[in-house]
Amino acid sequence: MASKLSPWGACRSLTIRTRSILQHGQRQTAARPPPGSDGELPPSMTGQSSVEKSYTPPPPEHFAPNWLNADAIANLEKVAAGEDLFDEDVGLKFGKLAELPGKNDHLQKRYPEVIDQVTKLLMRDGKLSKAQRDMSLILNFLRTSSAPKVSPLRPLLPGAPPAHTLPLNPVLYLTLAIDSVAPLLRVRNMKGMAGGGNALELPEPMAARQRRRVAVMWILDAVNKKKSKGSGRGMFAHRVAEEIISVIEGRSTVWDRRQNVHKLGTAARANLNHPALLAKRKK
Amino acid sequence: MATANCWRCLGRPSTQRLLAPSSLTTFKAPTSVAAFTTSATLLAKDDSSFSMKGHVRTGKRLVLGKKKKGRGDRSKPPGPGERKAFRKRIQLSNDNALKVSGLPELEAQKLVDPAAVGQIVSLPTDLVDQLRTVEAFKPTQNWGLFRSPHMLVRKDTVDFLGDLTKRVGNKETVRTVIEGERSVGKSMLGLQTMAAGFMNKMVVINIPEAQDLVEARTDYSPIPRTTPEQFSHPSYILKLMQAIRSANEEILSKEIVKLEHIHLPVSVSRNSSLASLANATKEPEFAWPIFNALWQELLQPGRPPIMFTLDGLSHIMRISDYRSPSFNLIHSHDLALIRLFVEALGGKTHFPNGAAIVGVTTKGNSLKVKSMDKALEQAAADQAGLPIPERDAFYSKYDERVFEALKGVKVFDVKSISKLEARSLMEYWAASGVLRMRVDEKTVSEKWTLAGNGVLGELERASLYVSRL
Repeated sequence: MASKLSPWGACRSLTIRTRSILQHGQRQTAARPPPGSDGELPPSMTGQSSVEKSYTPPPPEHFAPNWLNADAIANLEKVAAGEDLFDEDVGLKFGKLAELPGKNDHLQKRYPEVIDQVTKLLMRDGKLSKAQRDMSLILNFLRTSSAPKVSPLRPLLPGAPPAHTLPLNPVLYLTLAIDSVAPLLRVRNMKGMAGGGNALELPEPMAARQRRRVAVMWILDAVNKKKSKGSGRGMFAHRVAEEIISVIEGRSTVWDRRQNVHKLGTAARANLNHPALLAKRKK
Repeated sequence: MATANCWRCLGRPSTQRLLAPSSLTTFKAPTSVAAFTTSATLLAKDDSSFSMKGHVRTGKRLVLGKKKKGRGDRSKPPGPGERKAFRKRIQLSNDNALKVSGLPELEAQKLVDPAAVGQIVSLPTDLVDQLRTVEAFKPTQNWGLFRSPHMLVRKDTVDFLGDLTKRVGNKETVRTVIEGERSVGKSMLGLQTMAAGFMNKMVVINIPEAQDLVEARTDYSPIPRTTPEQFSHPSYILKLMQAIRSANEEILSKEIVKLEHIHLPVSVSRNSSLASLANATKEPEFAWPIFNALWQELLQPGRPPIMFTLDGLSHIMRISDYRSPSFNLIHSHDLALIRLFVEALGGKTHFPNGAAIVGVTTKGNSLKVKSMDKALEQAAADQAGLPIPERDAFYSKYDERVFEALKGVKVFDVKSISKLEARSLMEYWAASGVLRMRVDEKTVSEKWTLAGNGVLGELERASLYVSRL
């Protein structure tokens, strides 16, 4: 808001945005698989040998595209070209009044997307702050535990950073675990469509947020079966964090669930050309 | 229908006849049961008729409200005390964090030097061991996030310790209560005080959690020939004494026993060191007399100065949860170890070699003790030269012993840190790789403000945790 009022405000905001944008960029590398692998099955499914690519961190993105920076850059370019900033607003000392941001406009979300989602999945009985405490304890546990050993049998997302760097970036650690183990599809049962009252199983792709939700619920299922090793309020977080480490190391049973879903999905591909379905499509 | 009466004799049935003579029916090995009662032997007959192998209609019976056992994790459950030990464990290093090089090591001079304010210093390994022995580190502090223990020398540290070391050096007795808001760094200042004590060759005695002594968690026993009756904590005192010995080994092994200890249950020779006196027993019942003897030895002229610290002051300013043999609740000040501290804090004990008696209050886990609050308020007013606030005339439960214990103490109020100190701390966090953001004026200012204008614990919560804690 203030940045639109004076060019110097804009310049100031330019210098201070670098930090959060850097974080944002790093987060995205973990959250999203590289563009080439969109929609493809992971190497473990397609049978390709998984060669771990060397990880090159993305270059720092100093002027990320957001409305605050866009304005500021435009103003800077004007000044660089020797123009007066307020040429077009004749008669106004400080230019036009800035447009206020809308009710639902966020310059930046408070927490990373995955953290936000997982925290709310950890929540029980609507106790958000308890879930948030658990979340930060989980992340601190990941931070202090020793670096995981990734099993070649359970490859993580392609382009994942080397394992020894993970503990220092617990958000990336958590994101990588969840995204790696998340199923790509789900199997939908079309009631009675297979004939004779049988359901027709159809594979269906899922959005990123849905996939993460399923993965977290699986992880929580595994966590609830574990026995608590200590006492006190940190124990739930401790168990969750241990499960996340075991996911990264390929020991977790969650991987089997993922594999089962994928197998079922592969088998159910045949049903996509089922006459009942084709007939429905024609209508 | 057969009658219960005997056919041959027409005697009337009696209860005695109905009872089968046990000696005839079954032979049993003679037991040590008293002969004049038969009930036990009768009841002890073989249970074969009673032991049911399930109900007659097993399988048809409806079983409701029974949980099926044997599911879930079948691994061995944690042993006794293991779970608490896990909760209370103190981790002082994190191999994942980056090593921060170039920071100076802590020296005695650094803690009192105004030029060192705002510096991060590393703790030398020996000092870490000593502090660990006296349990100066707390499980709630974030030592486990960093490569090695470092701490910030803040303005309060220099103010407090500068005054303390100077006065103890002049063989005065410093009696202080450290106060302050919640998570402002009171226990941390206590730790720094102990560090100064170790580096200035004082005998450091620390009670890390006062509530352990009053909440009836540890065993206690009356001390004979005391009026009013006093009580000691045998195992706690034994543990404390071993901590004192191993933390202050260097000093105590040089000091020689001066007094006659003929009344002691163990023989202590004249030429043995104080370290061996502290190590004289492994028996809990001898712990208190020997601890008392050690204390008397330390009070002799020519000994090194004493530093006695206690964390959680409000817990000892109340009536404890222990009961006397007549089932009355025991006042905390009748527990011998606490009495020792309280008399030292209240100025009743004379320390010829100088001493620092420091009580640290807690805000997170504390009780509301009105007497203590009022006494500290009065002490603070006295210190500032203001008119001393009166007691509340409508409150009748003021505890005189609390006022007695806090008579003439100095109150040190721990304040929040400045932005400069916050900045150096955040730079250290960033250099350790724990804080993943650029540390510039804006972020420092932002976190400092978020942390209630520089409350240290809140600053940690705002910057070291991804979501709120």
